[in-house]
Amino acid sequence: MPTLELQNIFYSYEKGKSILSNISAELEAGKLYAVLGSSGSGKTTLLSLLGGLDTPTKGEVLFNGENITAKGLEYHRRNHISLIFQSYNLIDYMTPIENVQLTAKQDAIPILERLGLKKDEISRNILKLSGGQQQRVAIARALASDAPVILADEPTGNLDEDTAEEITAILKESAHTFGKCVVVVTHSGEVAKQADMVLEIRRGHLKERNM
Amino acid sequence: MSIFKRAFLYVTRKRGKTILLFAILLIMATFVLTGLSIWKASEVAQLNLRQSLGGKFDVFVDWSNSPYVVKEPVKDEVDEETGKTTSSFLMYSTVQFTPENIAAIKDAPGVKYCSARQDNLLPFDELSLFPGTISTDAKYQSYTKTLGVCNTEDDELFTTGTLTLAEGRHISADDTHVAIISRDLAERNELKIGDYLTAHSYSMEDNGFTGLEIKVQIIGLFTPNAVEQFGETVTTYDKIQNRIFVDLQTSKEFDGGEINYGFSALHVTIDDPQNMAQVVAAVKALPGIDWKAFTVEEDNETYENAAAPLAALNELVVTLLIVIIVVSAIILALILTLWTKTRIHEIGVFLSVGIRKSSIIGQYLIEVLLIAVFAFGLSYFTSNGIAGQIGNHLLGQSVQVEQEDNSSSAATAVEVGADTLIQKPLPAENGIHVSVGLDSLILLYLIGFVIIIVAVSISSITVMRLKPREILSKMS
Repeated sequence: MPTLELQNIFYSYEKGKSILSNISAELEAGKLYAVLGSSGSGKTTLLSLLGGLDTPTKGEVLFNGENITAKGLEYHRRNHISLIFQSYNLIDYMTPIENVQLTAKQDAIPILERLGLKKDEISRNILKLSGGQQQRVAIARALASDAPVILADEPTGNLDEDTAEEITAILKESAHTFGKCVVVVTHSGEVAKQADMVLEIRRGHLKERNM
Repeated sequence: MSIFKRAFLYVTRKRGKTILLFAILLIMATFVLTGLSIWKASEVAQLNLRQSLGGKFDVFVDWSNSPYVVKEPVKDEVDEETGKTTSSFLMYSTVQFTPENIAAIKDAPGVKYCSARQDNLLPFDELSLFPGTISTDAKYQSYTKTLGVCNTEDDELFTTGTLTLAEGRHISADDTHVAIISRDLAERNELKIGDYLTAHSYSMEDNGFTGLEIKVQIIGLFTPNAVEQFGETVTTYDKIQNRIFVDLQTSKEFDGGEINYGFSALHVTIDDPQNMAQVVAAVKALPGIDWKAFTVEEDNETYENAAAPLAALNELVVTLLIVIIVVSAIILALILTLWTKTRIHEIGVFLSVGIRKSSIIGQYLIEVLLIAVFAFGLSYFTSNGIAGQIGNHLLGQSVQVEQEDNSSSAATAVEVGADTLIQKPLPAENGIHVSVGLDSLILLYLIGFVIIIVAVSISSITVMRLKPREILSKMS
């Protein structure tokens, strides 16, 4: 059974402009998916629908075969989903370890250390960390929450090439080693190359491509 | 992470905002607590005033309208020198208050004292009386007033402190043929407790002595705390030192006839003048009193004159308090609304990780409450200083006005017959001190927390109406 499933999804803005049109896809655990598409194609909208941040105009999003609205979107976000953003979205008055502890269901320190943060860095002011370190903290927060799905919106968009490579490797490891279903929205061809499957949105339709 | 830890981290890490909010809350709390303290002190001052002044009403025979009033001629009096005959009438009510009526009124809710007297003017030839300041007819030089009462303890002259029982005991309802006289009169006549006085019964109907000799035993001595002022005119029989209190039975015997079996008037003192209407209503509802015979005259003037400035101050303070509370809530809501808008990023992150909106609002509430606990605590000290200065000044002015009113009207004179000459001692001045009490502080915490809950709720409305995706869009 797929972890996440999109069934005939339609999404349009109130003005009537259609963004997504009859999209269906199955996303499995242990795989890294890359969502590609031009700006305004609906990549982030798709991610919002998967993450329960928004609801489709028509169609259903299923988690383990159950409509995510059945138990409520808040429940879905809290228990099934971890979100990673381009701008890291960390809480500025919390240290790295406190940011991870925000939703952690396991010990935060080993996860932060595994992602390359030193002991003195995990208790430092979050704003004094580099972009790469902050994104590592965001990924640590996603991993520590024990959510089976990680949704990342341009996670390497603000990072240099080397760091972006490291972050992509971490996301890949999260899928392959820790069995997460990782969906990455990206413009980067390098990230797409690392993915197990590429989902490309064109004119509101989805094309699947195995790598 | 718990909601409390998130709130604690915010308060301790965002020090600038915390200090600013602390200062705002401290100023608001100081205003509210100062207002509360002055209001409280004003209430206490009013209560003290009511208790010290009391209220009173007189109930007496309605001589104009009562169907029980009888007017009948008495035996003509012939002047021994001129031989002229003088005709006069005797007017009395066939319905009078009995000792049982007085006891029932005394037990009515809100009644403090109930007293009544029968006055008789009688000669006491064996007594050397204190002379008055004006001359009277030679025939009345050995006359003085006897006051027949159910008990002296409840008599207004004793309850107001005008007279004090210095020795012996009070006259009670069960006593017969007993008297209380002044210590001065006793010393002047070398009398002591246990000695007897002799008087002669005088019939009003027959306009002459009945020939009945009545002996009364002295059981107590009183001392007056105030006497007529220098230069005042007073007759011998009106001098307070010459007064003789006797029991009701003796008084009736002194009277000789049968028409005065009870009292034509009584005087009621109540606990709280504010409850005058209720107490009068309760008294009028008592069984066994025929109200066609009597009329009630309320006397709340002293209290009303004295309480007016304090009541005005109280009204002012309450209005100010309401304004302060409303303005505080509005200012706090505006500040928190502005701050909440700057925290939209944080709200988006919390929502994206599955933290409920209620938990986010709860965190904001706890943050403000955490700061408020300390700000309100500190306001105890700031308010004490300010409330002391402002409150004492305001209340001092009010009390000054009230005392001026009292002294100008001389309303404290005891108005019982000629006893207006006798000054009732003024109630001791109640010290008014405005300070912040624990009850005011608790009230501040209650009011403050309500203001904060309202302000946080209002400030959260705009953001909390947004969908998570809208917030995340705003973030990006």
